[in-house]
Amino acid sequence: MLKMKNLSKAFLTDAIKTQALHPFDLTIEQGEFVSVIGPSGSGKTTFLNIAGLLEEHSDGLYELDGQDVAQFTDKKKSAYRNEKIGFVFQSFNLIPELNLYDNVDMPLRYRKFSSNERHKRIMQALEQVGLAGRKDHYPTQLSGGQQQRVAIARAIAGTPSVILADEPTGNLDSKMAEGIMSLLKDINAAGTSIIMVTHDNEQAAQAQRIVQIKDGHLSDSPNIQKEIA
Amino acid sequence: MYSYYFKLALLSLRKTPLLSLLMVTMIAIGIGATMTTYTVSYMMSKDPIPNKSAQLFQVQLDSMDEIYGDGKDLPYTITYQDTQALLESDIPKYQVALSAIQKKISHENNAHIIPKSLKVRTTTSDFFSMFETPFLYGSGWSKQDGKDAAQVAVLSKETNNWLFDGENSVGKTFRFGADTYQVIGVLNSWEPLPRFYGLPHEAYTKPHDLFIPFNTQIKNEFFTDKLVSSTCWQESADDSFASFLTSECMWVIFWVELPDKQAHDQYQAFIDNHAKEQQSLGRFTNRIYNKLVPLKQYLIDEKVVSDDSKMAVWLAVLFLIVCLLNCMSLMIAKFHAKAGEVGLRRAVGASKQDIIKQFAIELSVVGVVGGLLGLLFAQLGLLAAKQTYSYLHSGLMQMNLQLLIGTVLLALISSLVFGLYPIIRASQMQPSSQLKSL
Repeated sequence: MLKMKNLSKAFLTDAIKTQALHPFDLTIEQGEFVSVIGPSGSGKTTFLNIAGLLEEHSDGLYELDGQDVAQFTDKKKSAYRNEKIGFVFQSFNLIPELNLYDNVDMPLRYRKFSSNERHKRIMQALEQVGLAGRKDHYPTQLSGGQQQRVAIARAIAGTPSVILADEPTGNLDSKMAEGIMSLLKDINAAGTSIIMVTHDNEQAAQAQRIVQIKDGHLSDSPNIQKEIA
Repeated sequence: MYSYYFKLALLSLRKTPLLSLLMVTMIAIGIGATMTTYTVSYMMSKDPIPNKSAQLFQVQLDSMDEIYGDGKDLPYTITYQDTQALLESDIPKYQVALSAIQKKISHENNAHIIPKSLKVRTTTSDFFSMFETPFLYGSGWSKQDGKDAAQVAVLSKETNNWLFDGENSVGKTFRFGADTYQVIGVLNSWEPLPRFYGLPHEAYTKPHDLFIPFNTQIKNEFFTDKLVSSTCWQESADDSFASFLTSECMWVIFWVELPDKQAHDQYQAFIDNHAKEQQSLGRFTNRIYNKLVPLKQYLIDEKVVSDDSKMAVWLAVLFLIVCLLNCMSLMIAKFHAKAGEVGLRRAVGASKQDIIKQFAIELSVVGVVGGLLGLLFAQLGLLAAKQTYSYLHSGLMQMNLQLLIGTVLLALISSLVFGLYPIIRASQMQPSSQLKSL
């Protein structure tokens, strides 16, 4: 589903080249749950942004569903993000002036769904995260864990093939974090791939596979799994 | 989708009420100032009789001698003797000679109606057909009445309201100076703007109060100096009215309606022939130089639309641009503050065009609200102008439907034009860099 070959990313600022990600190979199959671990500033978020078509890679090949993303126009990238990818962020990124229903509705608005179809999907997603009863509430009326559940509902409402989660439990206490992890596992069990960036080794270990990024070097070795265990 | 953007626009404006209010006010002040000055200028330069202005010509004859008649510009008046000769022609569809006098008008037997000194338009019978005056009651006088110098009058609606309480007064009589005149018709509201047919400096003043036949003025030897533009380049033989009429004094305004080019050419030949005939009698010694000035050209030649008003419009436009530039900086600030939302929307699938559309709708709302408020400011500005320049025609300070719609459209388009840069800037934001700022 996701294939990166010899992919690298460098930033050029004031004629200084910073290699954020050194060339690496990575393949993730449909339905996999992959954790990406590594210290702060190692390049995890850059990797996730490239995977989510939010940033362009500098070199190498990136294929999504067998298509080379380097050939995508901005419009096609937007359509791919909308249909194939769901995002979950550490700070939830909900729009405070929209209620839960409208927050979940946001990605669906950019897709040509009928209003009945949108309503069905929004309610299904909110039910899946256990917040259908609070659809008219605003994000500020919810706890952090509940807000992240809304963000997850927003990510799954469009039935994407992969969810990219950037430290989804980073702002939550352990109990809430546990709930979010269990939710993500349920979603994965239903067939959606999940790529989750995390600091927490314990959470990382709950994934089927762990990828480590250190100083811009990505390693995808079975030994990491054992090390963490 | 546009209703969704509209909903987002309202939410966004509510989120930053002060900023939104500043933007709307900025646009409204600029639009208000521009439209106040533009309305006056536009109404001044409007075609007063659009369906036939191309067929109306003012007759100008160079009956002066070589000393006085050396300029290119001719007076817009002609002599009485030329008027009499021109009225003989049957080439024009309509032809109108006109002048003006002032007379004391009163009710015949109602002492409660205090007599007033009113401005009276003296003209020939074609006046009402040529200028398409609307009648409330009755009609204009016949050609025969005109020839016979009948003591008849057509009243303006305002005069009829004053003298006869607005009733159908056709057939009734009133005091006209020392004489008795009969009402033959009452006009409905008729205020062509500019009032093109009379003296240029009166183009924006209130219309005359009543109309009587031109020959009635002549027969009764009525003349009011201050209401006539008279070019007397040669002294009359004596002080009598008869001498004045046969003198070279040019004081009658003369209009003709020529429906096509053939009629125009024929009539030009007719007035040139008249000049040649007069030359053989010792008049028109300078040259044969006669003009049929089209109505619109006449308004330009006589500077009916003042240069001052055009300058005021330009200054107001500059002021509007300053307001819009200020508004633009507020837009940049507003959209910058929305960077996080832009990043998020881009991440969940919005294309750059989607972002442009969303913000364009938001600016359209600001523009339309600014336009509506600007319309209110413009109305206040025009009200103030109306009170300051009460001697001018009030129609100058009134917006017509085109101007009302134009005001809102101007606000909408100018907000979008000046918002283009902030909108494009917002849509170009790298989504990944903005996601943490929500």
